[in-house]
Amino acid sequence: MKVVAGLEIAQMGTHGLLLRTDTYVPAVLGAAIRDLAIDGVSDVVPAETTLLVRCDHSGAQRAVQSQLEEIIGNYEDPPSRASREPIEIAVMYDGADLAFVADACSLSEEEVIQRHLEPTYVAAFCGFAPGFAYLSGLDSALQLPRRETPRTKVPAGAVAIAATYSSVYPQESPGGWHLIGSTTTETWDVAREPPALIEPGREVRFVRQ
Amino acid sequence: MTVGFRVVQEGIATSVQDAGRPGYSHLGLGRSGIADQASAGSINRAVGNAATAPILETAGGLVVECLGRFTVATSGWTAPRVTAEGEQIQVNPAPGQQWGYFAVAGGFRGNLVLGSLSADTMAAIIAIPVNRGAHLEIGETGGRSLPDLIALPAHRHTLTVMPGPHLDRFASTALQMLTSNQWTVENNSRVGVRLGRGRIEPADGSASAASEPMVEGALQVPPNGLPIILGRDHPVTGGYPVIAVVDDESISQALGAAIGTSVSFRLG
Repeated sequence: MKVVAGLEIAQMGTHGLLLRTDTYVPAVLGAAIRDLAIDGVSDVVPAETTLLVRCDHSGAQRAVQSQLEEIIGNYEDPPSRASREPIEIAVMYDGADLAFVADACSLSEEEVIQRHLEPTYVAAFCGFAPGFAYLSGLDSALQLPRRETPRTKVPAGAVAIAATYSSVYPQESPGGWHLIGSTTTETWDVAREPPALIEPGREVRFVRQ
Repeated sequence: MTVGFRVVQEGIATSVQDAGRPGYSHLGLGRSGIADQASAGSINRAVGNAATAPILETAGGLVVECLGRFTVATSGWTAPRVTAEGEQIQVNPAPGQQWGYFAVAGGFRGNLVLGSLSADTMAAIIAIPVNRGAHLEIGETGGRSLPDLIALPAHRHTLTVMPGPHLDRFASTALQMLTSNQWTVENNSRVGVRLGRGRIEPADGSASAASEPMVEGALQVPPNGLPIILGRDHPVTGGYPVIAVVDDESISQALGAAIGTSVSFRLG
């Protein structure tokens, strides 16, 4: 395990390097590393507190690790994605759990909507399903644990909240988040490149429809 | 375009697979691809294909009818052969193997989805349906190399692992338990291989750890202590601590081990 200030790099098998960081936002660091298109790197995958840099063959791992140490050692300001406008997603606040959320948070439905509309969210990472982005920045008054009983079917386009995140269900799937609204914006399309509308590190704003 | 085969019986967990779909994991779409690349590679090469040319993968019971004369090879054969029109071929895993493969010279053909023909069970991507009655197209043969005997990879079932990124969260005896026990494959799907007949003391807080990015071959230990080796269709992030990671040399053996067979681990 190698230590650069504020960062540890551990091997994860013969292809993976797992970066653990308290100093950098994994999604933002990941986007910066991906933009460098380092030779031998096939995937750069952020999660909540860690970032995986996956090499396309085992022989590349050592060279990629030393390059990462050099890049991150010289890395001063967090690279900003602010040059890219936030993605705007139009929402109808017609979710099946809106009344439940209002009740559980001791707010009116309108207050829930206003608090959901207020922040500029940042996509922290994708997971659970293709194109499902965990959007951080949810108002603390709206933070609830997941539903006790997950739904077996959540429709595509459902706008939902759980814990510290909001998200949009890209495809119909099971799901345990609280549904507060819906959008017609397509967040996943395999015929598009990239297929996901919301990439990690991208800012997102919800607007009322 | 040549239609090569008709699916008579689709079999169990049958799909078309190739090298998979790198480059999309950060969007929540995993790599997918051929589970047992060592076995599939030898069968593909025997018909003159590249090792990861699109190939049929099945857990068993696949039957195809040949609609012409093609050079084909499948698990359990010693050499490829040329089919007769109307001939039916059964595809099953070789003994001890979870996945059987069926290759045709030129490979299977279809419209790529994000650069690959691999079906992905997690993402509901099926580039080429392999349902009963489906017709399967085959690609052009390059004619570069001549058909050859099928070189069978040695499957020793002793898997080489590297210490995992979360090893420090486990008891100091956990790695010793992993490498000294003879494990049994309880279940094997494209998502992962679940092991039993043995148990690793789970790491502290293993039920509530933050999700981390995962790789195929990662040995996750959930709170029940029964390790899971992540397969090609693993979720891109996972919440269970990783005690060890199966290395590149052993990943095909790990993912290809049939349910009921035993596996053991040694540190590489």
